[in-house]
Amino acid sequence: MQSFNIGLTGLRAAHKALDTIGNNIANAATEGYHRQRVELAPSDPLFDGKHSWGTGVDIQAVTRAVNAFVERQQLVQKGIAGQTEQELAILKTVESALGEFSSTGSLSQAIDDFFNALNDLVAHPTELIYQRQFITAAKSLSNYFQTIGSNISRMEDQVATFVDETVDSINGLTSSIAELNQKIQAAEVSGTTAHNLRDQRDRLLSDLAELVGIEVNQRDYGVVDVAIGGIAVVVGADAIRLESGFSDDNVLGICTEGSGVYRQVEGGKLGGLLAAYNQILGRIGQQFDDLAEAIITNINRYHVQGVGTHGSFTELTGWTLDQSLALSQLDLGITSGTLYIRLVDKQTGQVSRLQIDVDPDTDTLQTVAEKIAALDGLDASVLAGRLHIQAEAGYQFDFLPAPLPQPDQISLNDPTTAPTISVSGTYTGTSNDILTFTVQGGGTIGNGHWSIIVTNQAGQTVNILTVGNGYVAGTPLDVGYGITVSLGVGGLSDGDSFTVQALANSDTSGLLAAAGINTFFSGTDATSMAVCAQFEQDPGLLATCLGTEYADNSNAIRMSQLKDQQLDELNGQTINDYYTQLVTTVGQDITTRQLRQENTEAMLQNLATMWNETSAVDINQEAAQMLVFEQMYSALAKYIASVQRSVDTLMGLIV
Amino acid sequence: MAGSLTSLYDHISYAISLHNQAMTKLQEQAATGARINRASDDPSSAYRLLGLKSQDRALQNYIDNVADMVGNLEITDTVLQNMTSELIKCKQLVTQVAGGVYSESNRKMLANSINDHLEQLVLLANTKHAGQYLFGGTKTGQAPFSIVRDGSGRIVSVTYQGSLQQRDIEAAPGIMVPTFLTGSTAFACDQRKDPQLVLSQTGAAIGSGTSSVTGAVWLTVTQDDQGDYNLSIDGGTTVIDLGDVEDLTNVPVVDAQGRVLYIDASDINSTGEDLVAIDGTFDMFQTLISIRDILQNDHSLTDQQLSQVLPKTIDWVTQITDRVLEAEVLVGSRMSFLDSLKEALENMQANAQDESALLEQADITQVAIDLSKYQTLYQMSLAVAGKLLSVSLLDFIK
Repeated sequence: MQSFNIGLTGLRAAHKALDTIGNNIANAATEGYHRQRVELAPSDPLFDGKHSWGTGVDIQAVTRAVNAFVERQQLVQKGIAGQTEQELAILKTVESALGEFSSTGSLSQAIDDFFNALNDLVAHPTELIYQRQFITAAKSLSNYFQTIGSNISRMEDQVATFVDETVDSINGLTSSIAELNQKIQAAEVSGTTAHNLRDQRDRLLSDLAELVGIEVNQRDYGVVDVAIGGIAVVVGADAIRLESGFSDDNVLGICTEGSGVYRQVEGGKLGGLLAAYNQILGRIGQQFDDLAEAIITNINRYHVQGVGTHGSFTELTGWTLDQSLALSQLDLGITSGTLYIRLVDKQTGQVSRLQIDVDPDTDTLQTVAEKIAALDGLDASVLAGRLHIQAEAGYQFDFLPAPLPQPDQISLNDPTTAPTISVSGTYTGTSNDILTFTVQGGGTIGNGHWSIIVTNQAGQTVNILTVGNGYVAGTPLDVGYGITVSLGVGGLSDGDSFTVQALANSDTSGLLAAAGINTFFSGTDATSMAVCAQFEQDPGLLATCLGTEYADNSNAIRMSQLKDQQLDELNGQTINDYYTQLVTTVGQDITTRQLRQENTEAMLQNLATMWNETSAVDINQEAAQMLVFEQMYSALAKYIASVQRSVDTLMGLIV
Repeated sequence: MAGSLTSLYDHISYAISLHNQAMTKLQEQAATGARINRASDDPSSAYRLLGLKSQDRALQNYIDNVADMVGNLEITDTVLQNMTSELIKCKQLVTQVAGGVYSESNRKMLANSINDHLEQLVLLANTKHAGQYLFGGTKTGQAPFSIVRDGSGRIVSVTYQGSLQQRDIEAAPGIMVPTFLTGSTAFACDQRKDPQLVLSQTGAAIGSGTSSVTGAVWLTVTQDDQGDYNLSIDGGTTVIDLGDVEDLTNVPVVDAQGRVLYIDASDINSTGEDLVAIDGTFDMFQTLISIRDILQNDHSLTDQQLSQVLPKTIDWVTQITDRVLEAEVLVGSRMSFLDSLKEALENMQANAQDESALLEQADITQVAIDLSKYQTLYQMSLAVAGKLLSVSLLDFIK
């Protein structure tokens, strides 16, 4: 009766094969499904001492068509693709926020409009319409910086939120993978193959690879361990949960729950989000802040020293600072230096210059106020953290670096016959100096042959002024560096001298700009940049003048020339070049990532082809296989019927 | 080959996706007309393009400012031409009276004419254009010349109250051009020569020191109770007593404003008034005031003295006319420079715009051809997909 067994083994094998083919066809469209095959082998033969007789067919195994190398490569490339896609999305969002090349205006246009309005102000410093135009352009510039700065800040917050959500998704997937590990192990330890469970787990691994770069290690009985950036997240049937957070140096990263040691990982959406936060948005945000700060600081540096068409001040109030801290702790760039204050007696017209020394390590806002208050003609205090400077009744003050109209120190043999000495002009030197005028020879102004030697603080001769015959008393003599001196009728003796303080910078400490005294912009970065409120109400406060007639445009010229200056704080670039490079670097980053994305997609396409060739269900092939096993089944049915007829015939002979 | 249908599907969908992306980009270029719609389209070109756009805006600003400056200078030139006309008429009047015999009443009529021209010149000197005074230097917000009149309304002095500094404006990167003239230099000569005695009655001579007075100055010599001669150049407001002076050969006679005239007083022998002229220092207004006063004979000169003084006044008017002409030439040369500069700036702007257009604009013909190509490829992909994916072995199994 072995014949019947042979037939039955064949029918069973064909039946199982058809079932497998049916399963394959049913799952042809199932994502991640690996084609299965029934592996058949001849059953163990019978040996009768002389001959070996076949006993039919055994089902050896149901195998899953897998190319482990291709599968592993796909995980790697999906991680790269996921990260690239995420970084690209964020970079494109930043590029849209910048809005360059759009028709609706952009920051580069706002920067140009600002400096063009400043140029117009140079031509028309005292006219209200041009003052208002400049203020409007400055506000527009500030708004652009605020908007872009806020957008980047908001993007950072959103990215941090997405990181949390992605980590949650990762935790969900690793948990599911661990469960499937357990099931697969349980099935395969007992000798069965868990193809469908493996397919499910491979799908989860693929989903996980899109979220983050993973390393997969195979173990016995179909179990896999998974690590992310060196952190084990699945070990057999156990899943280790992750959390996101900031490291001590403010890097957004992940760690195992409760460990507190955060690190950045690569690959997948999470890798893209972390790179976007830490490298991309961090870098772009910092560059915007640096640009805004450079404009604020440099415009203010000049503005604090000038005056508007209204002239000198009766009072000025700065912005709020922490008055309990030393100036150096405020981190506003205040250095050791001197603040020079010009005091004007409105009644007599006399002008004097006062000064205080600033030591940022020991001075606070309060001590600075006290030093100013100790000066005759001035009062100062700190009101709710704001430095307030006020002139006493009958006085006005300003910080003009202009030389005083009379010499600072005079040493004369006979003051009764001395001429009136007048000083004027705007010092064009780049560093503060003291010019000493020493009489050589002596005599009566406009008579004889004698001169005045002018030397600087380093003792170098700046000029020799001929004041004897040929010099018209009262006419200005060009000393150099924009300063002129005139001597009236009278006489001087050999050795008589006087000095003129030549200031390029009336605040070498940077206190005024830091404390918001007579500044134009407020704020320290892109999101806080703003035009100080008083200019909206009174454009005449715009400090376009450096001259004591309050009608020149010297300070406006200094501010407008910032446009073409190479600034140290912008890596030696001009404002426009720095911003242009920032924008095109974003564009370059996008182009680089687009190329990477195209390459990765092409590689994934090739890997998909290879995967399809190995593991996908080809309907045509399954149909051909189906025909084969259908024929086999029919033949075996006929074989059994034939054996049955043979047995019936034999039975007929016996009975 | 296993998996061929699935592979086919993947390939087709990948190709369709690529064609879609290409068509989307081409459609954007066709819609905007621009090859570069964002920095990432072509970063290196975008860098250049941003720079060119910024340069274009800056150049336009410079061009507009230069046009403003030229406008101001054109008005200034017109005013200066009008001033020259007035001065030429003054010179004609003075020449007329210096060469002829005029009665006192005729001289006074001519003095009134001079006064009318003086009034007109002050008006012109205080000309305002587009809200800015043209001859006040940096002080464009207030009239540069203030007038003091006597009881009868005649101008007795014209004082410059503008700035001594010209307003520099950046006409092009690094090029500063002064625009508003300073009236103190435009209408006053500055080629000082030694003082000359035009009319000498007292025996005074010019001293050796460098005087600071300008124009025409009346030296008044009086005698005090002690018999000392007293000298004054401001009508007695400030007086120098020669009795207190050691060196009479070089006496500094100072007025209330601190101006000095050095006089050799060693040969003074009588009281009276001497007229001193300092060529090369004449101020337009003061000169006409002096001429008018001479014609009015405020100093009670004899006909002979008048005939001595009046010819000199022709030279005074000539000096100030030449000075105004110099200002005209200066303004003319600035206008010419600015016109050339504007042309150069416009050329630079045109070049920048041309280069921008070359970088930015899409070749519409090429875009149309490429669009057509990708549309065809897209349709072919869809057709192939439809054909191949719809047929399998199952269709042939009975």
